[in-house]
Amino acid sequence: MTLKRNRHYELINHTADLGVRLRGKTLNELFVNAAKALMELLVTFDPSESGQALPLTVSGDDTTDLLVRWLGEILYLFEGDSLLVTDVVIENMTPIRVDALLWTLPLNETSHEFITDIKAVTYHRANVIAKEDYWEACVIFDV
Amino acid sequence: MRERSIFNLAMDIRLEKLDAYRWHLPKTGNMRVPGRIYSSPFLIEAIRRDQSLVQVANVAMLPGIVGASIAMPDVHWGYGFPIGGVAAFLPDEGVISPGGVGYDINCGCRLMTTSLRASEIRPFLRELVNALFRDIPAGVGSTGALHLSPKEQTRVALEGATWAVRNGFGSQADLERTEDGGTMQGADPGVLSERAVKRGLNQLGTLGSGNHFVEIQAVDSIFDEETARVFRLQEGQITLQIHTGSRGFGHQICDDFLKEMSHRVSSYGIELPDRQLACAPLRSGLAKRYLSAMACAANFAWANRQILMSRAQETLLKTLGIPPSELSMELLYDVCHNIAKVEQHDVDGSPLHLCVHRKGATRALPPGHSDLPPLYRETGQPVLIPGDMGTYSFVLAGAPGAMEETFASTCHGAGRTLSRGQAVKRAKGRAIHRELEDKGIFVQSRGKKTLKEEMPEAYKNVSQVVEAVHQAGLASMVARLRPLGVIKG
Repeated sequence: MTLKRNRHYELINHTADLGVRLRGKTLNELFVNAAKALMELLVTFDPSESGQALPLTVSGDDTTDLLVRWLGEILYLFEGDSLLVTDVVIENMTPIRVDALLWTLPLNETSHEFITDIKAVTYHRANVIAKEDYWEACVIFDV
Repeated sequence: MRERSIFNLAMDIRLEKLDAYRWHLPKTGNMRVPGRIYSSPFLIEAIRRDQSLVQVANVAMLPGIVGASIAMPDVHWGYGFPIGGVAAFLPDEGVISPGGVGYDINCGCRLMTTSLRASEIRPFLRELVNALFRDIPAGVGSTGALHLSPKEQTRVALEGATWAVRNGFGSQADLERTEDGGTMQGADPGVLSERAVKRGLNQLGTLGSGNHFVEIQAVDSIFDEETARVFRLQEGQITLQIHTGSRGFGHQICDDFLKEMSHRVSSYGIELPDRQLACAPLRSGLAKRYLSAMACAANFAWANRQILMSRAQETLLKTLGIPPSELSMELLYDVCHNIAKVEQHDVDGSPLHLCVHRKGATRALPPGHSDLPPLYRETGQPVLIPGDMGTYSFVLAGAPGAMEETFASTCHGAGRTLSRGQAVKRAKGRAIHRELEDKGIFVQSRGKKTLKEEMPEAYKNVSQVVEAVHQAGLASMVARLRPLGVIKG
């Protein structure tokens, strides 16, 4: 059930945690949207703020595993390194590996407002599905 | 790895009613043991609607599980294990599953009694809430934490609440009234990832957000006068409750080990109906490393609650302008509700050391148990069931039924009925803080959406949950606590 429509994600009902549905015309776009959706749930920031480029490579056992690990890495940048990701460019993408360049900014409590405390990206009901002319994924975040 | 669940819809699951508070989920397909659901006629239908019964059945498929896959009356859909789930495993054939503990390792709560009366602090309530809100770091990205050196963090991970007492937070007497004495043995900081260490360095002494809180309460009703006397609870008395866990430190540890076990589970010959049930055999090196890491997180959480208690006490003393002897704050007890422990339990008449997973469940030792401090040996262990924002909390005492039927476990709270999105939608146009003030409850929260997401209607009725465990003989009701002031992240 759709509760909130956003450019990058839709919220799906989950009683205890936070579920999102993601879409993209390509797998590449799906993963970019996933990263942006996570940031939108975590913090508010001015999208025009420019940052520093940080390369990131993630591998997975399958595409669902890859998506969960990809988002897990971005969450760690936020939680562990206090960096927010303002933009993402995927340089190379296969169903089990993504090589990307992330634009990152140090978190600043004055100009960035924290929204949701996300503990982890879970495998619970996580999936990545190829539809006829787009890709769709569901991910649930533990909050 | 093949994933199969034998049930597609929870509504397909056939439950057999044993009595008014117990249901049997028959062993079917790949289930190694049956399920046992503690509930009530009021609560059982909601349980059917949210897939938690599928998860109870999935847990029953794990190797080495003993007796039954158990669900408490507050059970709800989690990931892998349901929240409100209990499962015990044999040491040789059984497994440890980080999902059966939860991301927030040793999320739990503690309750403190005082000599203050609700009638005397009512004029100061708003001021107290504001002061606690100022002094207790809470909310997403909160600052004000203790900044630890890596060396000190190692000590916290090894010593738990003992470290906090040694560094001036609270007293030695608090440790006896904390589960496991506030220190879980077997912690090994050497098994932690750099990421876990990093996430924990700057979060000690913070509350977190979501359903975590510091709450000023009044004892509203006494159900068991004798036990209440031992617990030092009296009607009209002010209590303070803290609900929080191991913060990013525990979250990262769970995540690290879930990923590693997910990767390696099939090499152990274990087939999972659900990926989030990733586990490792208890006899494996991986399992031992997880247990050591989990103990580090458990210790961090106990240190955290010890520090927050001390800070809250300082704030009350400063704001009210009274000496410690007039406040007389004492820790009643501290319980975890996300943990795995090796405990001795009787299985078919033989004492065995089992690995008991409690995910959203509380230990409830009965009267006479040797692990109880002398003070509580006759009453049974205090069991703290925090309500949710604006709702009652309860104090119970462990009863023999829990030891006999549920590996000495009982419920932990109420559990959500509405998702955060549904709650925000329902709260649209409403001033939740005003609604609570009308009921005499002052709330301060940091998050913009916290009050709406955490409003009372978003949760099951905790009174019904507590009634069910009382009637089922798992824990006995001692007192009910009414919230007066709440601080949330």
